Amino acid sequence: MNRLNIIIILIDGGRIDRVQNSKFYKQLNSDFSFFSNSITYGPHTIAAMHATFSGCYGNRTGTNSYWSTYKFKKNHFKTLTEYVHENNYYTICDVVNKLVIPKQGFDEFIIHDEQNDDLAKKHCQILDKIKEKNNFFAFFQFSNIHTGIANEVLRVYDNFSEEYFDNMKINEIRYDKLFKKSEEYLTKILEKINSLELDKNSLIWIMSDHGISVGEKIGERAYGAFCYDYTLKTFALVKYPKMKVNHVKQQVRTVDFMPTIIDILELKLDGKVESLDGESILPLLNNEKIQEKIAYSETGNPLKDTKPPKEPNTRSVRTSKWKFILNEHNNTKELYNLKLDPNESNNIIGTGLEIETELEKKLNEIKNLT
Amino acid sequence: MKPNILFILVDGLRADQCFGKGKKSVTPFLDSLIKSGVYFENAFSTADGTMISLNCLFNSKFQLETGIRAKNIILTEENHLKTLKNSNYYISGLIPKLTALKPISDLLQNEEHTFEPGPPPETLSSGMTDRIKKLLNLLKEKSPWFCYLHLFDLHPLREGKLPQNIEQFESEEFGDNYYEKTVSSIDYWLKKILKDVNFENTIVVITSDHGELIPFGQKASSEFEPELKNLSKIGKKVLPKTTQNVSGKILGKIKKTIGKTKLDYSNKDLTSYQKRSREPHFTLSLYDELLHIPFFMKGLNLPSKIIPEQVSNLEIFPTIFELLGINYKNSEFSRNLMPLINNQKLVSKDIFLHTIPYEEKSPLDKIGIRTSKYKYFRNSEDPKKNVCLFDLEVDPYENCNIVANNPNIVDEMERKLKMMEENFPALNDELIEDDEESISEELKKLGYM
Repeated sequence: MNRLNIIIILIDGGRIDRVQNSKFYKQLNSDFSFFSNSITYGPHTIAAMHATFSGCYGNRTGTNSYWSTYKFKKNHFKTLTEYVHENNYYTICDVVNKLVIPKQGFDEFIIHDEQNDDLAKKHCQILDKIKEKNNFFAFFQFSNIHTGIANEVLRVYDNFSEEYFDNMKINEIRYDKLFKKSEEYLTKILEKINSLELDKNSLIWIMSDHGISVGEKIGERAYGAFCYDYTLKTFALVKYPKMKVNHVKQQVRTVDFMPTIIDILELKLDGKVESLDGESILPLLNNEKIQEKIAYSETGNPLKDTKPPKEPNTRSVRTSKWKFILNEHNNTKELYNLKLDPNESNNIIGTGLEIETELEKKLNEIKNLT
Repeated sequence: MKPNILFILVDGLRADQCFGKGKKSVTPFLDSLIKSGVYFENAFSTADGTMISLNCLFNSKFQLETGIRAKNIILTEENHLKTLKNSNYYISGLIPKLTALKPISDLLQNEEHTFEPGPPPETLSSGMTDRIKKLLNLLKEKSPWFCYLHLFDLHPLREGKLPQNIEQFESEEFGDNYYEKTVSSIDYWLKKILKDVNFENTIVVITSDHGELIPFGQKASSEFEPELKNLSKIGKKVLPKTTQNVSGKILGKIKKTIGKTKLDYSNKDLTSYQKRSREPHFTLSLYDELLHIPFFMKGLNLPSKIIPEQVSNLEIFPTIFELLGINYKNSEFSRNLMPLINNQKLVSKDIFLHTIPYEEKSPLDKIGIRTSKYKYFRNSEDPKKNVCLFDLEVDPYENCNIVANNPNIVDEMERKLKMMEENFPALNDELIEDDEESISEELKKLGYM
């Protein structure tokens, strides 16, 4: 059966606020549907992408930290790649590192040289190579933002460097310069997709896995330490033949992406593996209503340590209005009214709001699911 | 009530002595199983030795996938015995008392679940049949149960020794050689064991871990060496004690040289397959005589069927789980075979092969792939060394290496091997520390440490 090809492009570390202010990205909105409020499970690539590929939170799949790629319970959870592979898709990816996404189901697992490779050129070459495959699934990681941040921030400062947090303007300029590269990259890739006429028979899914700090909160110079919106809020741009262009503002979760793609391809979920945490949000693309779901996220705050912890110690649940954070490393809690306080600067925990108990209960419920 | 599972593994049992044209063993009982159950005539082990084969069987993962190269059993977190235990099965069995098998032994819930591996080992003909029957009797109270019997009846041959207590099968009618006669004996005892099994609520699986060499003309390479007993006696009398050690070594070399000359002469008109059959047991090999295993299933509503498609020992447990309704996710390399049993098609899967590990890393260590059409293997370290490719459809005995004329097939096989090697990091317990180090290295590269 001839189905849509799938091209997923990950803009690693792409911030939603930059996307919303970018002329280039705004232009894409004319033929891409736009999810402007998609919440990642993990504010770092490894946990985020394992959750995206499996449609499940890492506390269930086993991949809940930087360290747990190989703990992914591959006998119990089925990845998007595996679903399409068993439907005779040729599956190929080009990523920055062998840890970042689950390997199950890939025919070719290519790792690029993040310091030297021209990713646009490389990914266009891959498209040339696979264009005749019937069908194919290609996953491309644009890692230049990450690489720039690793070179200029992660390796230079720590999470408490005064020099970093005192120079937010410089941080913003640095980030924006890197973000601009994603526009140049996407321009070339989308031109290539169009020139090969792959847009006519492909689902194109552009997304980010997490945002990146520009110095908003002392204690996190980049990402992966906290559960604040500047890293948890991501975006997705989606396009496939016959899709009606739409802007979905409702909160969705990146664990919803996999079941949505399965839904678009009209594949069946495997009843013999663990159930999903995510659900298809295809109705939202079709302008139909579905209820907003609570988004669960977790990460490991390294605090003063030089390496990330092996288990998460900071968790959050989020609705479009509220965020509840549990910092297990120091047993503190935070509550924010996101409508009134989108920057999460006014912690209203302990002010007697009923929502606090409700969200804490929900967080514990999800956290304890196995 | 869930069905019971009787899983019989006959160590070293070759498929061609259970079914097919070349069969010389007399196996009326196995023949009757084929007529009343399912037989996979092209089942293959992933390795030429017990431990690696069992690791693949109980984990449904290739060695290249798990990195398991241990000389003992390593059950991964999601091993099949654990899955059965989690599904409330009583786990029982009778296995050789070997340290290497301890992880299985630890999971067996019945008392006295080991037997002496020898030499000589306890065998069906030397009293183990009764032990097994007693165990099966005990299990009547334990349903649902899983019972794993690991039989060592053929093992003496692998160690260059004669089989025990097979006198009643020694005549020519039971086979040309001790291997075939022993298989005839095993068949006789299996019939007794399975006589009282209720197939309506029990699945019986009979398989093997690897094949074996059956020396052509009943003459293995060692048998071409002269004994030179008289010369040895004279030497001991005549030579001073201080020189006897050196002269003994010289005599050994002479014996080997004469043996090799005689072997070469005797082999000169033989095929590659026949020559290989005379190599010493435990020679690292990825030829089919070491990998082709029987795979029988009978019980419940299984039909009578002979299935020709290539399958691997990774797929045995997923098939059992499907039959029992136990949730199990097919992996990229293993799947349940029920569609084949139910007359549906399955895409043929490649089988990744790896020879067993020696104490020291051997230059003969090989990795390879078996597809339903081709067998490809080569030195495990050097892709250009000892490269072999066989067209199994026209050359089932792997006599004619066609590597020189098929560079494209070799490239494709290499691509598959490389993919396996690069993308499946070591996962076994022994390597956890290395694994952590390797993750640290990757995280450093990413700037996280």
